[in-house]
Amino acid sequence: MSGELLELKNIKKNFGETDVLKGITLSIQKGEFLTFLGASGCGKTTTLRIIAGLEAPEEGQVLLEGKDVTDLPPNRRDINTVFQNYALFPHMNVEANIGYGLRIKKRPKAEIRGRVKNMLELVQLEGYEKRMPAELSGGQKQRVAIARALINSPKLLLLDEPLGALDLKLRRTMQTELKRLQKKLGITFLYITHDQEEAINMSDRIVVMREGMLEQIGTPDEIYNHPKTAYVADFVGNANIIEGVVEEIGEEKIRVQIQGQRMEAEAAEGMKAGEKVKLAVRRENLQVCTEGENGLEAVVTDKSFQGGQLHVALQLKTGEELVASRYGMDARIVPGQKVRAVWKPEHAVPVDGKQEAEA
Amino acid sequence: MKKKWKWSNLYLGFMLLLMYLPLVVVVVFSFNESRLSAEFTGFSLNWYKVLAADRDLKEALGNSIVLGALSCLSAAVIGTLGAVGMARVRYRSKGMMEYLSTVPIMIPEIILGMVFLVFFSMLELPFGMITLVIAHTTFCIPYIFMMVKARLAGLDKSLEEAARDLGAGPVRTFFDITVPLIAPAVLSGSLLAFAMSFDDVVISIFVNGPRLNTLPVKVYAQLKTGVTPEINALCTVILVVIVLVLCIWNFVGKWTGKHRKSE
Repeated sequence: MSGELLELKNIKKNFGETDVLKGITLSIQKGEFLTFLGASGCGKTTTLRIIAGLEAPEEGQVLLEGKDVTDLPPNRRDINTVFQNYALFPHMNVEANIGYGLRIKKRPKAEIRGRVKNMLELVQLEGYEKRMPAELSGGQKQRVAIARALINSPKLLLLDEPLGALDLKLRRTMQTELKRLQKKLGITFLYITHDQEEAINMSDRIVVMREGMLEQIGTPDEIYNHPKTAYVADFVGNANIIEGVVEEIGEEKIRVQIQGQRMEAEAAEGMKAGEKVKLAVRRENLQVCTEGENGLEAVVTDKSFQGGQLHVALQLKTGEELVASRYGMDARIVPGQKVRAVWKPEHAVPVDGKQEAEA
Repeated sequence: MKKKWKWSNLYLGFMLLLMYLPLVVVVVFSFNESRLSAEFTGFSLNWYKVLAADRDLKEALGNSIVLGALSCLSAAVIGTLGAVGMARVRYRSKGMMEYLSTVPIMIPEIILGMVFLVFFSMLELPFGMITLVIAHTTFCIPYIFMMVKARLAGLDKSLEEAARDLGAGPVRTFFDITVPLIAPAVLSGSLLAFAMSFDDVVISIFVNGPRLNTLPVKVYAQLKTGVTPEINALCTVILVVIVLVLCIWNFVGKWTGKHRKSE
């Protein structure tokens, strides 16, 4: 990674009365795979459209390699997009679709044919030149859309939920393949998804967005293991959020008082004894014990088997609901049973730092 | 499976008979020897010979074709540009504007004819092909406008965006992407408009002037002197042409339908 490629400065956008983006500031490094992760309606697609030039921000600047491109039309930016629904031209065959960008640049026909052939090899669709888009499967359309964007060797490739319409198995294959392409070509990818697994699998850095704001930026490890806010912990890691009061602060661990029980958690900056704290404990890190004196008292309310995982729903004395999950069946726990919820100190991460402490 | 007798089949047969029997009669009697259309006295191609020799009628046919072509061509340009433009702008009175663009279809022809007569007289335009083309263009526009508008509404906006994204300017995008995709709608709207222009009597009578006849006006005028089987022969020829056009259209429709699946 060498230097900054794209910079967003305080981008604001509204559609009528609703503020879609409330001041996005972000810089993207050359060669990185950056993912915008967020629920639908969080403004990630709008951000991408502003970068592509398909939408104009009300306020703020878009800088590409230091140059202000905010007012440049999409056809004059070295940025290409893979659209959510592929947007292949239905009246052109695969070759004409992929070669469209080069035709506009008035490249010689022989060169276009050769480069289209190379692109088709790259996306493993050799011999598909003469097919019409209507004759392709979803995955094949996806590959054509990627080839059509990549053939222009853009400085930045934008991908708007490109795998959203594919089935799970094909999605996994395409994830690997996209990552392979990105490494091979060294092109900066800006990827949009609402699927946390996809984001974690593919990205160098993840930007979690929420309601037109950036919630947290970091590597997949930081986002997953050290979420800064309850929202990120819940959205990315399906974490349980448990409230307590800080009792004692150590070097690496803190002691937290929760429902009269002393529990341990990871230390975080700016923490004071006596303050309220929210802990994020991911479902798979929450252990359910049927014996012993340690841990939070809870009652099992439900047990279900989902996607190869056993989910156990617990209710604390205060009425708060927690979910614990683990692979495989575990027949010993039954609904109504009294249990204790425990976790390892490093699995409980304080979230929502300052703003909650003041409250 | 054994086919079951249904009352609905009887109804369907009856309705089809009601619609097509008159046409069949006209076609059959175009081959009639007799001058009277009351009874069939024998097979003859005589009336087709008479038709082929009838200069006035051929001239009127030529006028109608030229008129139809000119007015549907100008209406295609105006209507298409209108629909494309309307799809891109957003303002409060847009719905009203779109409604206004289609009103000519709903105004009774007799009123439109009167209005054109008065208006062209005021402008002191010489009545003839020019006034006919203007009048016909006016009522042809809505057909094309509505067809193209419907097609645009079903069109994926991201296709144009993709072209822009790949480096095409707005004009290039219009001709590379928009035009090919709305072409079927422009074509079917134009066909409809041509058909409307081709058989128009009412408006044409008001604005055609003293010397120029279109085919429907000519046929209408002949009614006064009595219809000869020559008209039957003419109708048959036109019917054959229409059936041919419909067959071609069906074929084209299937061909473009292949693209639509992907949208």
